[in-house]
Amino acid sequence: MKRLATVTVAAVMAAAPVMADLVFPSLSYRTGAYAAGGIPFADGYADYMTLLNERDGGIGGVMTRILECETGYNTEKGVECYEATKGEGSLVYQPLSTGITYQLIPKVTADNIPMHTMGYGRTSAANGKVFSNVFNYPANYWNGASLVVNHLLDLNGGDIKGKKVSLVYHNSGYGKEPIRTFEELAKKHGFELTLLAIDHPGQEQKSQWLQIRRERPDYVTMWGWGVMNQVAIQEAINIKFPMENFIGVWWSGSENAVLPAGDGAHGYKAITFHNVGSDFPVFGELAKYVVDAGKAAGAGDQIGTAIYNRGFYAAMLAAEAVKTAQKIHGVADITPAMMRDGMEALEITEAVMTDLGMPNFGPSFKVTCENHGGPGTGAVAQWDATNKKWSLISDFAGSDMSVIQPLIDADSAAYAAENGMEARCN
Amino acid sequence: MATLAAQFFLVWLFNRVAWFYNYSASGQINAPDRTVFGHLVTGPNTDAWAKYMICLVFLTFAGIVARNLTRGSLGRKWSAIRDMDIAAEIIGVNPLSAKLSAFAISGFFIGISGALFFSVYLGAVEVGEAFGIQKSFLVLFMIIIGGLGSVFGSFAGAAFMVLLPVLLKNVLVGGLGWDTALAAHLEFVIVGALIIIFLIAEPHGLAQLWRVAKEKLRLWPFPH
Repeated sequence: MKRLATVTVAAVMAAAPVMADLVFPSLSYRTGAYAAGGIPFADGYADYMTLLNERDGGIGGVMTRILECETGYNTEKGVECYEATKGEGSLVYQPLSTGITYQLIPKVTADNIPMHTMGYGRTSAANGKVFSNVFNYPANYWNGASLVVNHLLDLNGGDIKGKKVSLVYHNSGYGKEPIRTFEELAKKHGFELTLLAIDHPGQEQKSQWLQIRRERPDYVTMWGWGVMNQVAIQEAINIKFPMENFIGVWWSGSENAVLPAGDGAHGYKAITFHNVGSDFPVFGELAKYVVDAGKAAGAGDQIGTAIYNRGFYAAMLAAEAVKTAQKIHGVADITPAMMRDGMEALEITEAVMTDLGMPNFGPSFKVTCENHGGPGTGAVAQWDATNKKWSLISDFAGSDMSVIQPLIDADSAAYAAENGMEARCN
Repeated sequence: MATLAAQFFLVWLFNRVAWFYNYSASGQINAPDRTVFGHLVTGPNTDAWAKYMICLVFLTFAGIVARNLTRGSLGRKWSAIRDMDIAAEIIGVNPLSAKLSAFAISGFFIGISGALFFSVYLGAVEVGEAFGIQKSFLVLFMIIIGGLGSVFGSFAGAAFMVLLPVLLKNVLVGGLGWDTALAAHLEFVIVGALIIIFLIAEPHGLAQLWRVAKEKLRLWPFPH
């Protein structure tokens, strides 16, 4: 018995990591109805970290390690993954699911681990005075809603009074999040808003699209994810809805959403908060150090797609935050609490992006204690079915913060009151 | 069938009527912090042991009640109705009260578990996902695999359906270092195959298997 115990202890000690490393948990989903979005993001995230290890020997001399955990876009499994991985010194969580984000907000705050929900999650987390450990720079859903409406304003010379706009949304926390902003914007600009909910997983959309055919809205906008995107675009083609009047949020703007519909999807639009394509110097280095070395994550067939780029971008921002944290604390092997400080002091400039081989890939911004939300800028991308690629048809522009900021303040104040929290940053 | 209808009706209700989800923008409801004897039992700051203990207290209480109910006259009426309702009626069991009480009491137990699941385990829920039809099927499978008509079976079935995927994941991803997607897919296959094998090999579930094993062990090693 004693010998068995000794052997067990020795085995545990051998298994424990001896080398210091920077752990990045990746709550990915490569299975289920949302895998079409989960796979490219997870691949992009992992590939950037591999690139740092192979090219630079980690960040500040410390190797990075991806800790992957399959969630299947399921909230319960996401929480389980969080509980299972937080003990390994996980630096920052990026669950890529609004449902999981809502679950984790109180947990990460209690455990003092930062969470970065880029372009999703709880929008009012942009208010750093209330949400100390949650960051959603550089853009959030409410920016997205405003960017869609701004694009409609551009198309119509600044006047969309009386126009009919339908919002097709995933009937979950994710899809419901932008409704409040759309309602405010409808009041401000005088357009008529119709809400059409689509239940998980989103394969059944016939009745909603029949309603669209009957009501003939001028524009349709979509908050969809996973298989719902492909089905919606196919249904829109079936009712002959003009594609250029169909605008998706960034999560509905991937290759996987439009490719199954073939030529019919030509002209479909989606907003985005980062650049598209693989025409950046960093992708050359990626090919050299990661792809050619056979170290690409997954099947390695997603490089340069819209959501791969987003995962890549998310990893880049995380790595930059690590560098900032290392600079602040003067330690190379940082803790989650130091990572939080790094994220709060993060500054991304065009010079930094160019140094990284990603010029003009995303916006320049500075995170502060009060503002965890970044600039909220974005552009409109359009799908070209003949060349099978996305291209930007507008410049990166700001969203209507005069509408969004009061909503963020009100929602975060409600959260603070509900949880009896004091405002930070005073 | 009534519960199947409720499944859809309640999800619709919790999506439609804002009062039910506390007027939250995303439709998520959060459990407030609650304490028992000064220890937090819900909320993010709860220790794992506190969560476990509060659930254990409820479980023990519910288990004792259920065990005694099935042994009492009410439980005997239920099994009479289950086995053959006409015969039960002839020997003097009122089918209306027996069926109604069975429905109400099982609803009570399920209600407790649902409340604990939401407030202690998850902390925040969104109706369509946490309490969707998948969850109903999961609970149904637990009972079928565990063995219908036995209290022990429910425990065994729940343990099987909850712990097996966790075990598989730990072995495949943690132990063998497989790709997470491959492990997740394989997990579906293994759990599904086990369910089928169980239902064919032992239709009375894990509870019957347990009974047979005990019986065999009692006589072992001289069965004759």
